[in-house]
Amino acid sequence: MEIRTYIQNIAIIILLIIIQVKFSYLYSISDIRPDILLVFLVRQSIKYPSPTRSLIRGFLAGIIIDLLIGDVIGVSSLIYSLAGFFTSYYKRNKGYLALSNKFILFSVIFIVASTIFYLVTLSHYPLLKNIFFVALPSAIYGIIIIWIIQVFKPLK
Amino acid sequence: MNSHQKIKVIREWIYLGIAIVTSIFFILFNNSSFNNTLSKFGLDAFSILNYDYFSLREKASLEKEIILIKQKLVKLSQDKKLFEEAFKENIRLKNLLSIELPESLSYVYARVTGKPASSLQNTLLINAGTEKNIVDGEMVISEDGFIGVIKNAGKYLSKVTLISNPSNKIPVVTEHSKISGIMLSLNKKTAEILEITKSQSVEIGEKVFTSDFSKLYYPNLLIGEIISVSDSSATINKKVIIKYAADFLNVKDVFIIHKSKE
Repeated sequence: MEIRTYIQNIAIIILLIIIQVKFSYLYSISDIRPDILLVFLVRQSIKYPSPTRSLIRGFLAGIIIDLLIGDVIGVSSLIYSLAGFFTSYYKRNKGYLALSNKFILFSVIFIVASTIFYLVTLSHYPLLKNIFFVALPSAIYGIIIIWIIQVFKPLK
Repeated sequence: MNSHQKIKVIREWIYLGIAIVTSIFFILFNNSSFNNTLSKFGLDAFSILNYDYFSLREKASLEKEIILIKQKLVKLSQDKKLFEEAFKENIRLKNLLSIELPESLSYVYARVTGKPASSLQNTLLINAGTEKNIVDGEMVISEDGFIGVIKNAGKYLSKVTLISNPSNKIPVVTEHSKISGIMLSLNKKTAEILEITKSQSVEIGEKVFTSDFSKLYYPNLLIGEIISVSDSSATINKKVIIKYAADFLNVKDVFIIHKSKE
């Protein structure tokens, strides 16, 4: 990656953090909000399949958003690190990702990330209610967003 | 895979391990002073981006005027509630209880500038911080009632933990029957009052305020209204449900109850 790409990535991450913190109500449906930062991080991890870079990118983005608005500091950095690392790792080993592979990858990443996030931050909620009424709808919304972007700006 | 590639892969997994351990360390020590200090640095950094660079001078003066009016309005409505309360106590008990807020308290205006990605989380960002002498633990109210407590105060921004956070246990008292209990949040709209026995009488529609049992919370701040009372539980206690007076999802303007030095 060039320095220009690094700066571009940092700028986009900052912009997405601002959108997520200040304007997330604009795209919420019945109080369910997708994690647009995760959408960006997953796409970048596929575009530049270096697990270490994806891990660092995810960790830093996660810790920033946790320190700003997180109920539990460390949970976003954990899920973004894992998501970035494994997406890059999978892409590097597979090389080309077919449509079905991408669908499975996006679904697994979003469902696992969302489930970990809400199980930690909303630990007081009943488990099944937390998974089926909070984590899953949020993950599905994220998957829809990443597919819409994938249609308009496809990643190989 | 040659030895160089093997080392590279092992290094990547070590980095992943470090990231996981660091994140888990942060999660386990969520309310530690180290995390709070880091959070304050984060809020200070974000306040640079959060600054309203496009505001015009006229807008600023109008805003000042609105803030003053809102401060007066909140103070008046709080005073009104206190006087009504004192008057009713006087009639009923013939013995006036002094329950006024201390005179040294002032109201600092702030606007909600950030909400978490999920509306189910219990944190807000407001644009007031140590620059306005805000400190951790101060109470935050809206025009409708008590909404939360300052968790981390940065220089220009502060993080507020809402009263709807289920880890909060807030001592409360009912308006007419003066029955005390402990409020435990159920969700963003309702909460349950614990420790009210079946022999005690509370009514639907009664308002619920913070009580003076706790040193953490100022008394007589409106929390909500009783919407259901049930004796059907198997314990000796009633099941009392209240609805919050404040709408946490749509709150825009808040006031921090600040203890002045003088």
